[in-house]
Amino acid sequence: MKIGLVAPYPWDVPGGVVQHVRDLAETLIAMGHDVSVIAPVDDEDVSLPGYVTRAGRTVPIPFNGSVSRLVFGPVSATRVRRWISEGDFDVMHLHSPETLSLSLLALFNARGPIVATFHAANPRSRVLAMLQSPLQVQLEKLAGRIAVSPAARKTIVDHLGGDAVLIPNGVHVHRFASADPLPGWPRESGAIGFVGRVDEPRKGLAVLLDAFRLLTATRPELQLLVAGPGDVDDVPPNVTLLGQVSDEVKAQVYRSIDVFAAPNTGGESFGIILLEAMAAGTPIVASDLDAFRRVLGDGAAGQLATVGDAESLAYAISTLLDSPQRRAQLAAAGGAVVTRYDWPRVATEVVHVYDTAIAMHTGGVVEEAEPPDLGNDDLEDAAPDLP
Amino acid sequence: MDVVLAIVGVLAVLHVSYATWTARRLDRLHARVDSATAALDAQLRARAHLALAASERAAAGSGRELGDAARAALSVAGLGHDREAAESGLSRALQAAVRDDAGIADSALVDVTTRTSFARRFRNDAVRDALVVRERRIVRWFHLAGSARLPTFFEMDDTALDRRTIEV
Repeated sequence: MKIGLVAPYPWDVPGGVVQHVRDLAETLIAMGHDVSVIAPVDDEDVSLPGYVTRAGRTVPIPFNGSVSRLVFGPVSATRVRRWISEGDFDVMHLHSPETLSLSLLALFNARGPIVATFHAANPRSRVLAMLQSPLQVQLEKLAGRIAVSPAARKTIVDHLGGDAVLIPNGVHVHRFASADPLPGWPRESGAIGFVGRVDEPRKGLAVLLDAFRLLTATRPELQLLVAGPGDVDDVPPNVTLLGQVSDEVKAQVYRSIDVFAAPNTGGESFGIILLEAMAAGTPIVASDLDAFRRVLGDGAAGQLATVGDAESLAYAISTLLDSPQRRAQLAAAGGAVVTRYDWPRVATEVVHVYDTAIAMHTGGVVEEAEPPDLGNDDLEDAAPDLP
Repeated sequence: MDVVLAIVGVLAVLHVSYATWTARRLDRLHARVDSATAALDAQLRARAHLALAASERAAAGSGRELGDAARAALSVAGLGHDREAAESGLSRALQAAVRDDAGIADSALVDVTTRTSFARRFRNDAVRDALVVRERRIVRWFHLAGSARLPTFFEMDDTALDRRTIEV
């Protein structure tokens, strides 16, 4: 099957959605499909896998409490149209088309068997509410929609109407399960780990650092291993900042620690980091967010702590550090949960969505012949109701 | 007076072009419902045929019930309430047969139950999108839907067979 995937955010900036697209692409390729990805790329010198086509650079826009990097402009539109016409795809799969991104641009410019995955959980997105009418006309072109979590599905139902099938995020279980610890790790004195952007408030590193200060009052040798891009000031001693790391090193990080902390304060639709920790066999302490609670089976596969509360987080971590039995129990429970998120299984479900969408169309994906059809629903209200 | 006439004229042109655009949008939505309906019908038929084949592998009791349910589903055409009942009955018979003997569910049967639930979800989405536009005043007052029938949702128990229970 010839599959065209559209990534909304820059390929060279780490993020959950881009990682999802890359893992999906590589899993589909391993299954024998012919896959092409189009993505924005900010760094012109970065080398890309052979299956990636550059769509141009992005413009940073503040969106929903963090900075989104979006792609616009005639250059990107031309490249997308060429990619669609040359790709001759049986199916096109957009990611996060509800944002003003490359995915929406691709949707404007194509018709045929098109499906989309919605990643975001924005219970009160003003931007979505504002864009709903013009977006709706474009989204009507989708043959099918996928939500990666119940929260993402609820966002679709509330803001866009309609529904979606639920297919969770995936994780390459064996890559994490078989990784070696980093040289010199794990430490005798015990170590906590954090993975994510260090300067993104909703990832919660600040809460974890406060908890770490509480913990080191009684455990002066305890270590904190932090992997993720961004700048952070004023870290206590015993904190190792690795900065942005490769996937291989990230897998090693999970295997180098005794407890993985996910102190996120919100904005999480899913929690891929939890799957990675579970795949690595590392016990988890996570904020009691709906998305995390669901992946962790209400705490059966990970310890939950009050959101944004450093004391609660420190208490939960210390409980695990003091109990090897509890750690082993959580690691085993996590290992059982994560098998259903293994990429080959997840990608097989996605291919069923492709088959269903293809069955709804004759022929593959083609360029939209007409100029972009920006439906203006407000016109109905502006125009008088003629008798 | 000329100014008033000009304004009325401009508004009339805007209104007509909006009506034309809405009519084209509605055409596309109806076409999507039709193709999604055909896709769902094909999946349901494939599921019934695979269930019929599985019934011959099943233990006597649940196998006979599964075969009856599959034949009942195959005997109904269209996507009306009678089809909803027959297909829901087939879903229940499948679940019962697999509970008796997980071995009857091969991967083709598991896959078709997954695709059936996807096809139904996508079709109901298409129906909903079409209904939203058809409820608009401009569509009702100017009969922009023409003679196209009002599409209806297809409701059934489409719980897919669980891949995990099959593999273990």
